[in-house]
Amino acid sequence: MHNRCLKYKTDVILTQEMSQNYPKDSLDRFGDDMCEHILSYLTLEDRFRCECVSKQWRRLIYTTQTDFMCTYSQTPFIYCKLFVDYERIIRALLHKCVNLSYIEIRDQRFNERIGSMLDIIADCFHNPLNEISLPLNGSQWEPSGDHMIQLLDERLTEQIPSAMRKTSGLPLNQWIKHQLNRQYANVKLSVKL
Amino acid sequence: MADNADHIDGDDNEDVRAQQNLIKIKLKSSEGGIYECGLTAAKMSDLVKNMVESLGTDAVVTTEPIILGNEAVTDAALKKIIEWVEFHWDDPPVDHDFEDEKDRRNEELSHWDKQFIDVDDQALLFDVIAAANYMDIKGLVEVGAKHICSKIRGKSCQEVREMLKITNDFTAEEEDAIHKENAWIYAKD
Repeated sequence: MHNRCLKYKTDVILTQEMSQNYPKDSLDRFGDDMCEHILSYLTLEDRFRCECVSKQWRRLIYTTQTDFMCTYSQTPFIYCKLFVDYERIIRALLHKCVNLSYIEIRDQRFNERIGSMLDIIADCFHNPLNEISLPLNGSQWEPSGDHMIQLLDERLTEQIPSAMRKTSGLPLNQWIKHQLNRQYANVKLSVKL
Repeated sequence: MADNADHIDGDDNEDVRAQQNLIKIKLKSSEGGIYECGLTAAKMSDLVKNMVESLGTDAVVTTEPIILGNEAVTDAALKKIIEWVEFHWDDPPVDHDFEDEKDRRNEELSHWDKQFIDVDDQALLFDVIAAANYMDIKGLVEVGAKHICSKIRGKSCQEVREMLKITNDFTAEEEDAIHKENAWIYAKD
């Protein structure tokens, strides 16, 4: 008898849940997995623009952004804004896109700002980030290269477990130097962390 | 028996795929409607593919309808899905783990897919996407997702909410705070 009562209660709860269904023409009907998958096809610009659509969107809209390639064709608006307010944008990018693993800003027109950009990237560094590709020309090579090594080394020794800090037997700073030297001929700085 | 099973599994060969698509199987919607679909086309659904392969023989496959019990699989949605798989069954296979995944994600929809997915009835659109997800047809889920994202492009939060009928569950203060954080993306110059 007691059991039967319990079962009855369960049935009532199930029925109530069913009747709380969202309208069929509302995107709210989709659970987090499906919603996240749909939003994964948004451009980065649309993600920033639509973060405040709903709490579900805010929770899911940045999680699938794994790379940032700043070119005019991919993100024209952000590309232009980067000349004006790169600090805010890079901070927002690293702060909100928690799974960002790759940053590429290879346009030579950003050359003058590379040092400060690296400062900001190092300052906001988070673990999934494992490759940064930036332009460098010969004259900027020495200060920016050393600056980069210093910045990354300081940040990374805190954040990356020691096992990951060694690659092919080199300590991290030597390894970064090694990587930088390999890239020097192409006047492009690409560091795989 | 063994011959039949081999026959159904032999997907690699284009001729076999074409021949198999002449075999019609029956799919039953959650509303009870029964629709015919070519076997190769129907097997673009991983759910159907697994069901068919567990049945084993053509004889059973062609007589008994495969029941798709999810409520998103309405008659209208199932008809759309069959239209899509019957058009796409001979596409080259896609490896979702492959390196060019990123390129494919950024690729625009084909003209046919655009026309196919651009339906006025949003409940039907969402049913098709949910049903394709239930039936595990990755390509069609992707078409639906890309279509929605292309409609979102450049729109404001409020416009997106109205279009997709999303309830704003933020307080005015919360919304204002996010707006301020992202103020730079709304600035026009």
